[in-house]
Amino acid sequence: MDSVLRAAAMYLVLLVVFRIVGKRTLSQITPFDMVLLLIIAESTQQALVGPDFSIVNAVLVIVTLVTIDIGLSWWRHRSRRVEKILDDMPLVLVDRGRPLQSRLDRERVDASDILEAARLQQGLERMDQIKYAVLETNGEISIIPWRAEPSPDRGSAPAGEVVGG
Amino acid sequence: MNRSDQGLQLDDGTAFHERMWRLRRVGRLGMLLFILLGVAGLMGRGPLSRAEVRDARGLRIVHERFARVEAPQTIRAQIPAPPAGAYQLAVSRDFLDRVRIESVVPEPVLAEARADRVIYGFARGPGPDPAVVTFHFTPNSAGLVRAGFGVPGLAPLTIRMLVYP
Repeated sequence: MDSVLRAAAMYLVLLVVFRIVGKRTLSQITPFDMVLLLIIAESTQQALVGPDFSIVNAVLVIVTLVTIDIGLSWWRHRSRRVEKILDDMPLVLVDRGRPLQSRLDRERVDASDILEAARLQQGLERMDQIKYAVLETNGEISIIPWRAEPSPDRGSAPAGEVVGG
Repeated sequence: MNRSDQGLQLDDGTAFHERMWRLRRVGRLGMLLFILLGVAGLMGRGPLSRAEVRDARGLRIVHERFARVEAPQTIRAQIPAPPAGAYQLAVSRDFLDRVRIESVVPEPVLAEARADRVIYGFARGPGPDPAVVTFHFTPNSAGLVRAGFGVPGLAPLTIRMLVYP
């Protein structure tokens, strides 16, 4: 019983801590963040198995963690509310070319982060070429550039054409 | 808010994000408070944790109020010199059943098992000085541990220790 309770408790603690930390931190893995994650993993491992290094105990811990994960995954699929709590929701950071500064501040995202995503994803050069920037649930920023709007007379504009800037 | 105008079909949940930002702020303050309480000793080993009990005969027990499972701990007992014979200290079974004694310094010359306690005997040196005995132990299980330390034949001093999981 002890092992099951330890595993469940550590799963819950890590879930809460990483939700408090915020999704942007998780997506930006610097070398120091990597070291921090390794230290967290090492600390967690000791709390999970305690002084019991038997194979049975390790299997019990692993099965408990996987079962909790499956259970939450099922619950997440059944409940939109649970899905939002566990996975968060996308957040618009740039709305029709206008950066939403209060949201950027709250998520600790800079204009330089958005421009970096814009360069990497779309090859854009300036902020005014960005129509929407969305902070996704995995912490990545997705960029939607301005494109020519489809005309009701002529059909869609040529793909890749960027308007503005 | 469901943004379906301008082509971005996305429910970015403004109210949800406001709630999560508030919760995240509370969570971060909670983490900071947890650290401060840890430094202060509420999780063991610190100013808030250190405690001492004594009686009129000179028996003095120094212990920690808070401990953690499988974390090394010490209890220091100052035993007044008896009129004759070896120094003796009775330790309650309630305590001995909940911990794993790693060592006793100095090593007792006698350990007499009774139904509700174990009486340790320590060699007596010249002079009437009190003896200082240190118990090095490790708590086995979480919960409230009550321990009685005393000179045989007299009412023991009771200490309480909360062991965290």
